[in-house]
Amino acid sequence: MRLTVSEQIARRSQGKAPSQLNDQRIAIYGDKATATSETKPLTWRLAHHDAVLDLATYQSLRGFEALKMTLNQSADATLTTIKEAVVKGRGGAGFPAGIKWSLMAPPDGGPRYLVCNADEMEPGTFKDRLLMERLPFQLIEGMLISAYAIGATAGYIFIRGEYILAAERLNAAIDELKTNNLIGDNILGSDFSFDLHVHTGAGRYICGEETALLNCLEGRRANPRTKPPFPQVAGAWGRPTVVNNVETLNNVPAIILHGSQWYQDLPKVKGVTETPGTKLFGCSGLVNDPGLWELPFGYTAREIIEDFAGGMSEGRTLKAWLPGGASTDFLTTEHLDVVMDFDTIQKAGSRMGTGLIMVVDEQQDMVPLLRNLEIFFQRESCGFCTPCRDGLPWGVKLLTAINDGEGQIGDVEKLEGLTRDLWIGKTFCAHAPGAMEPLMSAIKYFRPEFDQKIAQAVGVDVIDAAANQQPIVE
Amino acid sequence: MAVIHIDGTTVEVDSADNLLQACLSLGIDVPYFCYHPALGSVGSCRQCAVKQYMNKEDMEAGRGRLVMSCMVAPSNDMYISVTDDEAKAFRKSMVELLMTNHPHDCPTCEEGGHCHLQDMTYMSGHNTRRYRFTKRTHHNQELGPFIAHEMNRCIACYRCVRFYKDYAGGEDLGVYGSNNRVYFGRDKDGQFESEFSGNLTEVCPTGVFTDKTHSERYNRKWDMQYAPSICHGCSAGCNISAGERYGELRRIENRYNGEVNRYFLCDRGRFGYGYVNRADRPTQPLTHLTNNPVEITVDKALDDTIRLLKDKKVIGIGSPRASLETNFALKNLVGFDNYSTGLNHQQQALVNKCIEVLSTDDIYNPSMTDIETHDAVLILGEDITQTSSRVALSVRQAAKNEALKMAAAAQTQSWLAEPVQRIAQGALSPVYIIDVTQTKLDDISKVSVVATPEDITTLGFTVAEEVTKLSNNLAEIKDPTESEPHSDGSAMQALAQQIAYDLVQADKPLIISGSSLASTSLIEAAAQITQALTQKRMAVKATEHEQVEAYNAKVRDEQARQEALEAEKQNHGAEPADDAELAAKPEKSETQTNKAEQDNVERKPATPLELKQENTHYQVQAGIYLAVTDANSMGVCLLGGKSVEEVLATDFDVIVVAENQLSDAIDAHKLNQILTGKTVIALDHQLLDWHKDADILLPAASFAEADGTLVSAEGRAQRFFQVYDNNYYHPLSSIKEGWRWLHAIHSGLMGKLIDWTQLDDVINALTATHPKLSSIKEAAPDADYRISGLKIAREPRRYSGRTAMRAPISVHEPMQPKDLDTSLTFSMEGYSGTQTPSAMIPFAHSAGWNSPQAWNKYQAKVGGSLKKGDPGVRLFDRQPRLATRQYIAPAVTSVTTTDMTQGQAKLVPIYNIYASSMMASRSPIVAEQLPIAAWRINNDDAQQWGIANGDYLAIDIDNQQITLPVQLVHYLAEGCIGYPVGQVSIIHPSMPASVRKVAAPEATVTLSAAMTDDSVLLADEKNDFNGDSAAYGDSQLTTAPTQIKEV
Repeated sequence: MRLTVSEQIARRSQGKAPSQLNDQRIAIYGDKATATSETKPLTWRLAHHDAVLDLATYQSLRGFEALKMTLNQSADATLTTIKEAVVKGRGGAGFPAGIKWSLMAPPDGGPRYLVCNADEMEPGTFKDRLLMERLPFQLIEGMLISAYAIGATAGYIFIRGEYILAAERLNAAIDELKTNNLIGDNILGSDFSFDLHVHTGAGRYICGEETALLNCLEGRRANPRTKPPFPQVAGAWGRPTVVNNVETLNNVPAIILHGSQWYQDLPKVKGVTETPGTKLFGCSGLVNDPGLWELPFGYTAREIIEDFAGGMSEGRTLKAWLPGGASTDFLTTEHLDVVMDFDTIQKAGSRMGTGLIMVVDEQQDMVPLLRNLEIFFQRESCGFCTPCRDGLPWGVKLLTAINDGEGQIGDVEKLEGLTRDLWIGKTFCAHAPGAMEPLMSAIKYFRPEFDQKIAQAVGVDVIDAAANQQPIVE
Repeated sequence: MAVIHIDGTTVEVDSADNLLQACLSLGIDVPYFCYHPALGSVGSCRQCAVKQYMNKEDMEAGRGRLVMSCMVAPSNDMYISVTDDEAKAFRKSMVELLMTNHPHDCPTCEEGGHCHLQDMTYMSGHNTRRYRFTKRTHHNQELGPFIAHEMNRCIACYRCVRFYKDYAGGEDLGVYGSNNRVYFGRDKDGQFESEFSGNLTEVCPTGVFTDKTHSERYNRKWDMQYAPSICHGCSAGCNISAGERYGELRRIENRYNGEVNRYFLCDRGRFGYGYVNRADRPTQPLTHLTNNPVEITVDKALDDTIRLLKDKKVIGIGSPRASLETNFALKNLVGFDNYSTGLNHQQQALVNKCIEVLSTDDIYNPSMTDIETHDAVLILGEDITQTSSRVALSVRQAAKNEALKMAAAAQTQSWLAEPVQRIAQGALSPVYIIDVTQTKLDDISKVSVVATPEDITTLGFTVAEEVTKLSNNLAEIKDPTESEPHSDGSAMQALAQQIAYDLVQADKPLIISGSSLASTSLIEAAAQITQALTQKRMAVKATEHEQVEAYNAKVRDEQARQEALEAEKQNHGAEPADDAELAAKPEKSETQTNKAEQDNVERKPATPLELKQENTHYQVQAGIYLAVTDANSMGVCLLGGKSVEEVLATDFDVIVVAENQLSDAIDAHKLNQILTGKTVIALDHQLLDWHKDADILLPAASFAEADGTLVSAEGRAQRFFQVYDNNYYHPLSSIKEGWRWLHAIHSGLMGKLIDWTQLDDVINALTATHPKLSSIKEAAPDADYRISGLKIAREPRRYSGRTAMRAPISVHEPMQPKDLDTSLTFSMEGYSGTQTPSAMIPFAHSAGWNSPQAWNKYQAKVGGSLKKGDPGVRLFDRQPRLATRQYIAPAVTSVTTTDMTQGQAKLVPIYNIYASSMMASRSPIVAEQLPIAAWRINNDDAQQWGIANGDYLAIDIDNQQITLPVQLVHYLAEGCIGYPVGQVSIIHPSMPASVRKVAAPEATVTLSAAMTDDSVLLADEKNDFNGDSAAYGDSQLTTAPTQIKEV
């Protein structure tokens, strides 16, 4: 049954799924009875409050316990705990945070930075926003602990400019923490001092690339930097710097509270993967209950789409899905039973990315969809390297032509050529390869849609011709 | 070095290079755009992709991956393929992508024919357009008269901003926008502020920035005739490639010299050539110049001149802007005792002082490229950006040595442009600038100070004293800025201590000074610092050597003891008690530049068994570079002659003046008096004001029509070659080389046949009589030189229109002119290629390489020396060395200062890259660009004197009154009025001068308005001067350095 928009909004404000299908299964962020810092370490506080925006409330929900524990142990011990827990980076690449931290250049008395990558601009992704808007203290606690572990002297939260509410709430939280000796010099009477700033970006997707982010933070053009040297050696202002995603840093406090073994054991609920911890999974597109759920690793895409998102909207059937943002490869209905973790999704031919699924239904043409995605990527190219700067616009023009009935025979081959040339290792950073992932997979799975449009345009039955291996005359 | 395998060939390459550089150096054609040997690698164009394999098996299995060769350091046993199919296909694709937006305007593009993009497109094999959509377009900017802008052609290699901002320190070129709309330009229309903007035309791999002075009379690279030439713009001695068509000089391009200018020229040198093409140049001998000049034939001119000279007392005045050969021919004609160098007494004393200093023991005299390797620079009273611009560009690179050291400490290769900058975070090697006015290098200076010439000299000697006072143990020398200031020391002394500290601590210190403030004491001060430094550094080195030896002796003893212990242990099987401690593996300590890291290392346990090594980077000899005014100032003074005053004071009847604007040397009024009643023979390629006093004017060849030898400030003798034969296009023209005229007159006088028939004859005669200059013969091969029996072609193989181009003159095509003087030929027939001797390369070209990037093919290693050694002979390396001597600071006489109430003025020279060069400012396009002539006064003085921007001051000096508007500047020596050198004729600024404020001349309303605009602009661009200024001085000195800026 369908609900009106206002009914859906009302349900949302009650913490329920927008349709009634899900009532029995899951409240969006868990419920008070079952959600604890051990079962839903990222979001359990939201079962108690819509948002935790003041220090007292946060502290009443075990806030800063982990920080206090941390300050009583050595930085090395903290780093070891995080390393043993194996926190795979939640920004999309899945690189373990502990290893990232341990690559920091040794302290030399100069400044060292911890930067939080809050430039969440991946199409279809909205997990960091939730964490920052509703649990600003949790991110900050994660940053304080991480900073302690890596010996950082100052931190920056580089936040997407459009996240106005999140920035406001983070700033308010920082102000409150400063007056409570939780940010600044000698935090809680310890030797540990740490300054934290919120820096709002101007809304460029490339700023999510960690080195471009650092350039932008310094007031330079947001071009990615040469690696090596990596940020851990020469990062912000040339100093050792670690850049971590919001969600990654949100994982830290609970690991300190419950230990790395607990973190490793979390996926045992499902018992199908060894990827430790929980993650914010989500789903958008034409499903009944689009949303966000904290789940231990081990759930399949089918479970997320059908059980949590309430299945496809009425009259729609699933055609394809993007596992974690626009820069991941399309998967199809064949892949629905794939477990949503970094390795398994990769084996299926895509990337876990941010873990927020976008569904595409059967009524949706792939060509205009791709065109929209590629317009986004070409606009967001920084313009530094040739393949990205000049290759993406060509891709957009080809897709536009195909979509507008002006496609020509060979256009798909040209697009395929781009997917080869704009690939990892050939471009300066991962932006263009990310743009090629949906394109490449769309051609792989839905080539006939492209061919049909071209065939209509040129008046030749391309598919028949190909099937009969007849030469196609333009 | 590293041994690597490229496509099955095993080669040895320099592991300090990147792989692209290594491949190019081996002659392997790998296409590239964003890499430039002087700018390093950034990896943006993705054009230089090659395949890299893990190992041999990987290669045999075809499992490699593409890498950008410019971003990879070659390492031992690396397997690479340039010819791999995937790599080739990818490179082809990259060009195809660039061409999706690049317009197909090659036929009308001025870059065509020397376009790197054309070359690389062809090399990559992209030849069919598959992109069928519209191209992105941009609006272009009006960038002034020198450089054209066509952004549609941009391939976004980022070279322009990397050169302009990162390399040359310019601020008004940037990259704007993002994605495929990135835009390279200024924030608004207008001329570039940098003195090096012209290099954009060569740095740009395609036609975004092109030479507008060439546009006016454009032709393709292959349709020009070239000669290897030397820039006559200043004393730096940059090598240029001068191109001609239809008897006009059309374009000046950089000619690579690995020790001098490498890839870059200044804008005076590149764009200031127009005087060669002036329509008013004398082409026939002229007589009756006073009223009604009459052209006469060559024969008549010679006969008349010989008649006028016969049995008369003849004196000759040469010129520092004429070749050694012309000066020598004059010296020969008038007799050695009657020849003047063309410099006045003071100018000559200055150059001779430079020569003396550079010939002294313990003095190290670096080339321009060598300047770049110095890591501490003190510039004393020479605004090199304006007087010897190219040197300033080298100093900018020297300041980056700190960055390179930091990068090396962080294991980052010097060619990784972005990481080096990131690691350095703007850290610079110390550069101190002490001048009368603010300079364009102030932005890289640690301290810049403005002071009067007298104070600069005093400071110089104080620095030398302070150097001497320092300890011989480097570790004991403390940074004076970190210690408590001595209340009794003056500000000047404190500054001197700081400078002395940095110069002694540096690995390679350099002192730069020159003749522009007309003070020999200043040059002596510079020499004194250099000597004091060398002596101090010798002592420092000796101390270090002693310490290291003593330490190592202890280590060796300890080693011997341990070995004995070890032997004993083996004999007895007993373990010594402290075994564990000794066995602890000492951590290897590497040289650290970072102070904090050094502390860290020191805190580690001592490493008893490691031998210490002396710091091999610490160079004992301090360097000195002395700039002089003209292209051949050094040459004429080495040739030797009297000063202008001296020779004019003799009793003479006839004076012969070769290529000299006498009014630079002697006041016009005085000159007029002296010349009255005398016979004057002038020889020049320009028609100058004073020529009206000449009885006969002989048309001389400019550098474009003559060969000759110049000696640069570095003491490098270099040959320039004739670009074209003027008579080929202008059969009636009588323009001849200066030495030819003079020798013909001489032969006529002596009643002899002409026996100098070619340049080599002059050089032989010169070197026979001037042993100091004997090595100039080696500056270039002589006229008999041949390659496989061929002369060297001045014209590219594809030179076209030879038959047609003379058709308007005559349909009968004459024989090509013969060049008797040199081994170059006025033809495309002859040798053309990379075997050309380095001093004789007319233009850079190699098959498939039409752009200036073709220099790769001429270099022993890309970015290094030319294959047969860099051109030029360094004369001071071959002079007998003079013993070192103490230079003594001159006694401070009463220092004059401007006093408006008394109407007394103290003048100091202010130089400008264009206005201060007589020849450049005679070039019509440059003449339009000259700044408005103005007196410069600093803001504080102006306020005190009640003078505002645009007010007029009349100054009486040396029998003349000069009225100019005032332009206020932030920094200028206190109590001084700066005068625009080249725009007013002040020969002796130290002469008494009176000043008064006057009403604006009526006709100059617009001038005044323009002034205001200009000063607004100046204030704008010099914003960084505001705010961080600090008064430098409570000192006892009445005129201590007045203002200071610390970076």
